[in-house]
Amino acid sequence: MCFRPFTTGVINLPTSRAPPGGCVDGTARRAAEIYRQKGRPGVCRPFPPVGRAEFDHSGAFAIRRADNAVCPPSYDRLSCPDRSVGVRPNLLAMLRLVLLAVLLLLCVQCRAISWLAIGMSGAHIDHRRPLQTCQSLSGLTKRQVRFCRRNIEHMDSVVYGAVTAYQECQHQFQKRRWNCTMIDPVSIFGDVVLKEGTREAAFVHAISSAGVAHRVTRDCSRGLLDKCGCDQSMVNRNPGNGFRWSGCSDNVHYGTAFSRTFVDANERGKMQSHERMLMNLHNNRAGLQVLEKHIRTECKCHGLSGSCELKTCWRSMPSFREVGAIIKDKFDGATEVKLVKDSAEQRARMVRVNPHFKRHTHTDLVYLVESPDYCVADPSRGVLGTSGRTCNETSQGIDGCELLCCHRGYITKTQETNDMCNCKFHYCCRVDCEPCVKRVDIHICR
Amino acid sequence: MNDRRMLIAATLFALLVSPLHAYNWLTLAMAGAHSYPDISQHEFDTICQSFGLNPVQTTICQQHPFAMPSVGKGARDSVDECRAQFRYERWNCTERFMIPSNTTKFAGLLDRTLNAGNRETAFISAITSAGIVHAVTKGCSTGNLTECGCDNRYTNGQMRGPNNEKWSWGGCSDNVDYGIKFAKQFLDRFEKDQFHAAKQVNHLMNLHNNMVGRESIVKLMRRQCRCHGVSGSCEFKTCWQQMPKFNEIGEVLKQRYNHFAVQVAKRAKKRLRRKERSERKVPLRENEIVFINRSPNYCERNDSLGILGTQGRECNQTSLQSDSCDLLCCGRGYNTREEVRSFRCGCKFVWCCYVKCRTCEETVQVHTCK
Repeated sequence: MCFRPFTTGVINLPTSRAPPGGCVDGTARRAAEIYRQKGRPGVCRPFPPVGRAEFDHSGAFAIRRADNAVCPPSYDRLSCPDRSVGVRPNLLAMLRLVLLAVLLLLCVQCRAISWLAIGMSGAHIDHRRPLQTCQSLSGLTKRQVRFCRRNIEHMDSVVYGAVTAYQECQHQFQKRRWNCTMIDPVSIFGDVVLKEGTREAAFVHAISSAGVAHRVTRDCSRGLLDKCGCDQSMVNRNPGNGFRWSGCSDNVHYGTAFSRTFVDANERGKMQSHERMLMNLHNNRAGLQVLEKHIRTECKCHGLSGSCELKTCWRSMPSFREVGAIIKDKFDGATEVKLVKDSAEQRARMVRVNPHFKRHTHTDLVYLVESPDYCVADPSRGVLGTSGRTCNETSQGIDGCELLCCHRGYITKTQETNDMCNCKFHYCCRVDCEPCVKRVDIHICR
Repeated sequence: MNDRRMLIAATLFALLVSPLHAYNWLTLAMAGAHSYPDISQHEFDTICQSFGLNPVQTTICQQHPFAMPSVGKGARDSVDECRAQFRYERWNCTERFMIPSNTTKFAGLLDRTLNAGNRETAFISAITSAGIVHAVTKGCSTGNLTECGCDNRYTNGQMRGPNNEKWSWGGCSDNVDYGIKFAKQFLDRFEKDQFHAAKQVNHLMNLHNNMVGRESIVKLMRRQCRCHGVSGSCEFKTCWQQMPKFNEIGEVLKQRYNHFAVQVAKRAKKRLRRKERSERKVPLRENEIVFINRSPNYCERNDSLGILGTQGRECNQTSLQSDSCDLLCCGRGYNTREEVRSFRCGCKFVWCCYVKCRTCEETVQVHTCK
């Protein structure tokens, strides 16, 4: 089953602020605590659920807030109006909803990138019972469960790699119409939006494989994993440029190899079209290539008063924010491809649709179908629409009100926030401030 | 009678490009640039009526037929300059031409933008009026126009500079006053009449922006000097007043488009007022161009507004300005293709007298919007 049984029609939406690792329910918090006890920085803070999406009788879905105010689908707390939006029952829409549900249930085998669910569910990794743990993790294929069982000590890194990948996706896309809210394989949305081979699907595959590789590599360097350590291959080499290799070089090759085995296992041996498999494998690899290509040398001087008489250098990965930005660039310049069967080779290859454009390389993202414009909510395609999003009135870019709201216009609300102003420092050591009310205009798409 | 034949061709072309509904003198830019020495007054009248000129402009055309090539050059120069200034923007000073199936006529050049009343309209008004002033004044200085000549205010008198250096007026000073007078007659008189008749604010807007364009030239007038002493020393120095180059005017007006564009209220009795309520009392300045409507974003193609959209436009992957792929493509992403460009390299001077070069080829990546 790739989807949870679609019976209640209620989907829990992740918030844009909360780490999507869950931390909403108790199990997630426990996992975070365990993680913290082992000497790792806790990334998880408990967040209350902001809302959940509901399908009402009219077939439109809305978000029900904690205070039971219903608002149009949006991902922003601010954008939810206080008054309730009335909904009228509509037989036709209900029929549509039932049809949708049936369709989704039939579509059992078309999971997109369901292993990302392990980052969402906040599952507890019990190292002493690998079999039960791995089987209880949601969204893993048979091969991935086997891999998980054999590498149970790496699974914490995998989980947090998935979490950071999801956060990075949301960060990179926060100003766009599709703002990466939808990869929530626990719910239906993630699978629906990534089911088609769009550019967005390509990005998610690349960033998630890079996320796992980055986290595993980092944990190797920190000594949190027994099976791997720093990259020692450089130490014996003599560069001769007045420095020596030392310190802990990031073992990127281990991380990427690990990530490739785990992530690619999701694609193989499952009922999905051959072209999707090739596309996903390519994009997974492209994400890993970013890590390998952008590894850089960092150095430190140890001479007298900071002089560079003695210099040690090591290889280090870019931060994951940089990796995200690079993959986002590749998303912008992604290549549209199609599958062409070569009669001589008996093997299908991906070729670019428009031969005038440049051939894609191993590091470029590829996609099969054009993306929708993500303007109007269309749950059957996993599109939430941009209605209710906050926009930037002065921006010319895609986050500007005109483009983000798809020319529908926007409403402006003035919000008052309490702030401190006229602050004075008194010796010693006290700061006196006056409370003042700040007014901020917030623009919300219609 | 080669000239005659050219004249007929020009007339036919002018008939083809005459606008469907509104007057648009910019079509002069597409007419031929030659003057017609042996044509009777009656023939001039017919030609002048065949351009898309308004009644006032037609009369001026009939009275000063030899000024028309200069006006056409002004229109051409200003459209070229507009395209150069907006090369990297989403709106790049072009517009979709509609060729209706039932007629052979084009819509006028930049017709819909000129009637949109937005920031781009303001820029076009300003730069085209500056274009007329520039071209007509240049025509006076070079002697192409019979009605005017050099500015004879700057003719005699010994002057002393700040370092007690002597110089005198000489040469041909650009007669910018004549150019301004001409542009005022040509562009403003009809707009003024229209405003008095209909009280519509877009006429006031055009008047103001025409004024901004003219004034930008006056502000940039400067003294140009030359020394005539032995071996270039400055014993004798003559100076004359010269207009700026037209691309300088384009840059100044582009700055005004970027930073000094003011939205004005949609209704006006006598004069324009700012739309911002708190600044209603502040009069409009000479360096502010005004517009009424907010501009569309020019991202997607819109045939009814004549917007071409940015699909297929070349963008700059590394830039952070308006030509960056992110901004120009409106978030749609870009395609990349490889182009082999050949250029001359390794040039050597060979005695005497030629330059020998090799042809090098480089592969460049060209990004175009999706």
